[in-house]
Amino acid sequence: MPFLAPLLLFGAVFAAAPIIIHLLNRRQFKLVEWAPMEYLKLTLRTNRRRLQLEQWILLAIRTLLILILIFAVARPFLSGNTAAAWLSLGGRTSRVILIDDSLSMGLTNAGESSFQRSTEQAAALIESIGTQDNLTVVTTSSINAPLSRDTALTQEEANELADEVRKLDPVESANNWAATLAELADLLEGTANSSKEVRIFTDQRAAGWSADAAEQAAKLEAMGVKVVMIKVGSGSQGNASLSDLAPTSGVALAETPIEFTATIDTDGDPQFKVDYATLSIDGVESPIKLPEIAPGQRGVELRLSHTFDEPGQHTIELRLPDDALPGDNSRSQIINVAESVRVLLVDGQPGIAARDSEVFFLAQLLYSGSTPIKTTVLPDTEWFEQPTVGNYDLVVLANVERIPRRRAEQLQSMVEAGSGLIIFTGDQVDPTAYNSDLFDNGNGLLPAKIELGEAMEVEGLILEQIDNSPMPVLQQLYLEKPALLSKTSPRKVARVILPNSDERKDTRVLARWNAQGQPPAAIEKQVGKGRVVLWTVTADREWSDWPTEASYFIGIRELALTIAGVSDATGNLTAGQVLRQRVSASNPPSRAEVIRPGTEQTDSAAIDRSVSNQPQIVYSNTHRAGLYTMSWDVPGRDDLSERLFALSPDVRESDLRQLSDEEMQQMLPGVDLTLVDLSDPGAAGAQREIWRTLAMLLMGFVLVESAFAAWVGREH
Amino acid sequence: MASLSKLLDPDVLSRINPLGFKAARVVEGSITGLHRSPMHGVSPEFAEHREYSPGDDVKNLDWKVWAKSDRYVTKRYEEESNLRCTMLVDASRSMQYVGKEAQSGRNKFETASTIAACMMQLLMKQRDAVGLITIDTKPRAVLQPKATNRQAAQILDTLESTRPGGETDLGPVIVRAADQLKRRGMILVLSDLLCDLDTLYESLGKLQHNGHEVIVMHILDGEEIDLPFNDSIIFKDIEGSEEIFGEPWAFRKAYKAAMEEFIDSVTSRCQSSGIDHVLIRTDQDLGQTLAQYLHRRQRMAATTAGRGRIGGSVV
Repeated sequence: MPFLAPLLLFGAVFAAAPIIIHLLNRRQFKLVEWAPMEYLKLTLRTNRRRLQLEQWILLAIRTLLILILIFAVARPFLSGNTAAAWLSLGGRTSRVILIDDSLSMGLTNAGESSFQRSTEQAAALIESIGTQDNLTVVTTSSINAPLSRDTALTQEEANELADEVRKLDPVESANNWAATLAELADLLEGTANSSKEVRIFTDQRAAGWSADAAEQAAKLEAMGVKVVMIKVGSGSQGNASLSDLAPTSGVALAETPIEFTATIDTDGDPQFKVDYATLSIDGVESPIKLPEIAPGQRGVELRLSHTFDEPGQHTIELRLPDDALPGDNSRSQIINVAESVRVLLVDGQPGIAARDSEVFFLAQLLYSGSTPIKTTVLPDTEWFEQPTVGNYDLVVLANVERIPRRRAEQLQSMVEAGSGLIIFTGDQVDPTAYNSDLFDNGNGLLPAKIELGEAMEVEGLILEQIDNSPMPVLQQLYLEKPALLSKTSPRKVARVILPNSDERKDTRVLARWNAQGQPPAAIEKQVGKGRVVLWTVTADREWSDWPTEASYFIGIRELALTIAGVSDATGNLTAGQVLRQRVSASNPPSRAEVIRPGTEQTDSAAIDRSVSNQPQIVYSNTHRAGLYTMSWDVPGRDDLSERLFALSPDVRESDLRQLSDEEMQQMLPGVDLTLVDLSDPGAAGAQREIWRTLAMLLMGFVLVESAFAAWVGREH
Repeated sequence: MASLSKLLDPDVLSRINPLGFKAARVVEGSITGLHRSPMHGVSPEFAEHREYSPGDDVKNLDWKVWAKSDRYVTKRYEEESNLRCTMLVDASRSMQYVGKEAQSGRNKFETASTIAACMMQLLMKQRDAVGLITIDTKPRAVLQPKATNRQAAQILDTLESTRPGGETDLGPVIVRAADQLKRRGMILVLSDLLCDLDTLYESLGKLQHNGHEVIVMHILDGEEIDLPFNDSIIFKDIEGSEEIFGEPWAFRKAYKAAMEEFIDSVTSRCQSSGIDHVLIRTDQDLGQTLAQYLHRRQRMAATTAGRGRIGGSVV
């Protein structure tokens, strides 16, 4: 038990006072020559046992009195309800203390965060665990790097470890409990003692728990691990979270206003209000007034706009004022501001004259307008010869017969990383090849299976009224002047087979032909961060005269600019995600380093060469949100290559719903599980001095001593 | 000189002298005294009338009866004799004990000596013969009962010169001492009775059997009964070498109970045997205690005159 004034414990030697007084009394005796010795002996013989017992009891009470007094003066305290059963330890055991350090553990209640409460309790536990057990101490974010691994600690080492635990901070990433439990099972497998016990300090938030945890629970059950789940942290006490910050359009261009959308959620605490935020652009801060946000309102969108003068990499950070959970209050974004949008038009049917080209009208519409667009036109065969897709924000495939499988994979990676892809059909398109390589049973790029084009009587284009349409102007035009779009009447249209409703959650129809059955005209599919739009007509006039109409110009141009996105290079990730940077296979770097947010020190990053032709730098210690700078050398060059990553807090952790004890039991079926609730800060959180209890005890003992002494005196 | 002895406590004497002391039984004295004698003879005390028969001394004829009734009747007188009292004084070491509260700072032996001296003075005044035997493990000084002034002086000298010493072995010693007595009489035992009680009772029984009247003056110090000490004490056996350490407050109640049981057992045993048992506490007024006893004895003697034995105890 810890004390506030442990030096005063030396006063415990005074507990020997009654014994010393008793011994001194024995030395100060009177000698009496006594005649009735026989009766004296008789008395002593018959009463000796009772007398001795009474004397011992009296001596024990007086010694205890002094001990309690000294004990009380030394001001002992209980760390939370450490006195509770969960602290009682026994046996020779491999013990694991697992501290959940996910973002939600930073939730503050009564001036103390769940994480602080956890570390304090864990530290007290470490200090009291003794030398007989092997101890592993680990956090969920660094489960592969325990602070102590199955080691029997001396008291001094335990105290140092406890101090180290007290200095820990929560991270901004989410925790995947299934993965954590798998790692935990591996950790436990390697421990020395057959008796194994895990104490998990967690806020028991539902986020991060999934049915997969049960599988890992079976492993723990098989090992006979005793799990004590110590619940810390209560419900939300006034929290606003920034759940999203992203540019509205995919491509950011210099000297062009770039719009951002920030999404703010608040919990239902009526006392809590958030009315301003801080916007930081390239390190320059400015306050932002927020619209009125009602308590409990979710998904409040805040539109921001900024014009960057210079192309290049810029950072933008939005930060809400501190609240109960500060970890989810800020988000960062890296914006790669380009000089122009880079568009590749792949011509499946290049003509001799420019006008005969499949992409003639597309090139025309992209050249026009104020937005700087750098268009590259390549015949499909030429494009196929190049080793990579190329560095483009948007690729348009126009009447390309087939896409080789390798190139399809490259395209998919590119779109997943954020670039846009528009596919126009045509007579050359081989539906079988497209469906197998690009549709790939719904897993590929193609939003729908396509069939050969067929003649059709069409009387115009119908725009679906959907949110976040990539063609908002055309949508508006359709609403206001439908006659403009009614002229569009292709002679031939490619039929498509939409995936069934279960499979097409990422797929939606943007526009339909006004014909029998209203066949889809444009189908959009979200693939990773990028989008793919399939048009069921040709890009040129082969199947329709639409390319000559204004609506074609308006619609396709805005579609192109909307879905065009900067691929791969953005580096906007979520805390906990692995940083990856592809490097040259022919001239790979010899070393790579990362500077973590909030630190000046460099941390070395690994170079993964498992895929020989695609080496990459990998860095996984990314549980803190903020800007990470990765640098690596290029042999033969003096300067280092650099890349910036912006990691934002994991918004899943803003969901503060807690699992009930029953739900927790269901998550870990079969496991020897004990649930301990330390979420009440009054009962468990702060260290509690127990001098009142001791004072009461002391008074009780004084009364008992007086009463007992009086009784003994009267008896004799 | 006997009258100047410090043992003759005037307070005690002033209290007991008016009361006198009579034997409860008849006694065989050689001179005329206060006590009834088994012999009938010349005495002012009329006993009975008896028909005259030839051979009777004619001087005993009651002529007044003849004149009234013309019958010859002789008068018989009850003879009164002097008492032969022997005082057995315990002079063992245990009698040396003196407590803080003891009257006039007398130890138990001095108290016994004072009683002996005062009783001697009382009896001598009645012309009774008084003897003294001091005892410890054996009879030390033996003075056969006499009623002379010289005897009184000798008794006082003996008592004053005796220093308590040796162990108590009262039972056998009493019998040995009594064997030296030539005639039956009264035996006054002055002792703390801290000895083997069974042999004591046996010896007292023998004395009674030999025709002696026995009175036991049981002398104890107040501290010996009450154990009033508050300090830690090492109790050293006054007649031996044994030592016991103890804190008296812890067992006072039990000790007092044991002592009370001891006194009660002696009292009841004496009572059942017709022996007077008088508890003398050295911390209480000796004159008062003795006067109470003598007064009580006087009353009892009056009510049981003619009977052989008396009972009762004065405490």
